Amino acid sequence: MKTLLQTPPVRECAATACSFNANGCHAPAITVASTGDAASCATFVESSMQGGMADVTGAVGACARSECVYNTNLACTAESITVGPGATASDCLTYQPA
Amino acid sequence: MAKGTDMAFHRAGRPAELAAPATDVGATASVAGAQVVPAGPDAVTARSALSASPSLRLRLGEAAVDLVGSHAVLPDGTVVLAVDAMSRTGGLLVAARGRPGAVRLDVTQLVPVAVRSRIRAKVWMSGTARRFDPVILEQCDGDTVMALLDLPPVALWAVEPVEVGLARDTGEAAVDISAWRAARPDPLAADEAAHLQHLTRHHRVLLDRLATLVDPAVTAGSTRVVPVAVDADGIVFRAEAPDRHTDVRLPFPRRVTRNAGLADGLRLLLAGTTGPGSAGPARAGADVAQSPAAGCGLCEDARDLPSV
Repeated sequence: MKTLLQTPPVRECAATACSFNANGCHAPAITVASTGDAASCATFVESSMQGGMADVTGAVGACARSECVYNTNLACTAESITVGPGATASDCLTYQPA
Repeated sequence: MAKGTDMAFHRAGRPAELAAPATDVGATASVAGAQVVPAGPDAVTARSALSASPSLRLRLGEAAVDLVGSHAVLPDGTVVLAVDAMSRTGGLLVAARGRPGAVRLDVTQLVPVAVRSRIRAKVWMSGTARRFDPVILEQCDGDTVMALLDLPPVALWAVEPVEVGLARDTGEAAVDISAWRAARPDPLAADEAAHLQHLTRHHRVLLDRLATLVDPAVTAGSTRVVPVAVDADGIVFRAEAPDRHTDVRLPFPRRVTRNAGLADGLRLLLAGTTGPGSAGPARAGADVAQSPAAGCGLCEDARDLPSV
């Protein structure tokens, strides 16, 4: 049995309004949704509550953008990803359609 | 108004509307800050429809999807949807985040018994989608928290109302957003279908007695008289004829504020008309003999119901 030690980390996230963002993403696993022509972090949430775990760097749990070159079986194989404003407030900027 | 449908007046002079008249606004309004906002009957009807409906239609631009068992309504009128972020609909919701009015919800409120012309009202709401903020849980009562826990275990989205509308046979109306937020569903709305089905199945004699309270001029020529609605303010019977039907509201003497009070409401309704000039003696047979439902006040002591 393998454990998920190598899910791609969110190296940088510019969506500073997100509750999981405190000088970086601290959500244990984010979900990237398929939003029109873009890929967008669906875990983004604006809240007065601080989300996530401080000593954890966010990672990609699942990605619906199946045509991305880094997508295998709805999982991300990129070394890391970057999130920031684009078509939405929290686009996956590493998304690269095949 | 639909062809073949008449609006009748009960002998007490109340119009026969299927929707709750919300006579006691204070009971259906909340305090927003220091100011009491009147709820209004349309807001109560709309809140009742959305809260009681097991499903709704979600529209996002050109896309539409029916969500079943996937919504809850917060006390402030915000609607919470459970939609998997990995699905196409979830992606559309993500794309719609923060855009005022980008989400539209539609609900059709139906008469919960087998009769013709079952559509009571159509409620629509346009709103702004956001990812559900868990801080909101701190402001929710126990029932709301339980309703949220009953949702499918996928991403939750809050849809904050921008516009709310209500369409009935009698026309369309916009519901004021403040009134929508202040309103609470009718206390019987969530269990109305169960109440009507229980009454029909186990209290046929009682219903027959109640039906005698309807103006005979209305029931003359009708093939059957059936209950089609019950709410905090009364019970509505439909007199059906082959070519038309008429709905008549029998108002409760006192507003029913909880499910357990329905038996008392019906009992008082009968008691208030007992006496000379009433429709006649109680009919033979006790309708409580058939497998009573647990907790039904009528099943427990229907033998004490006043004769008409």
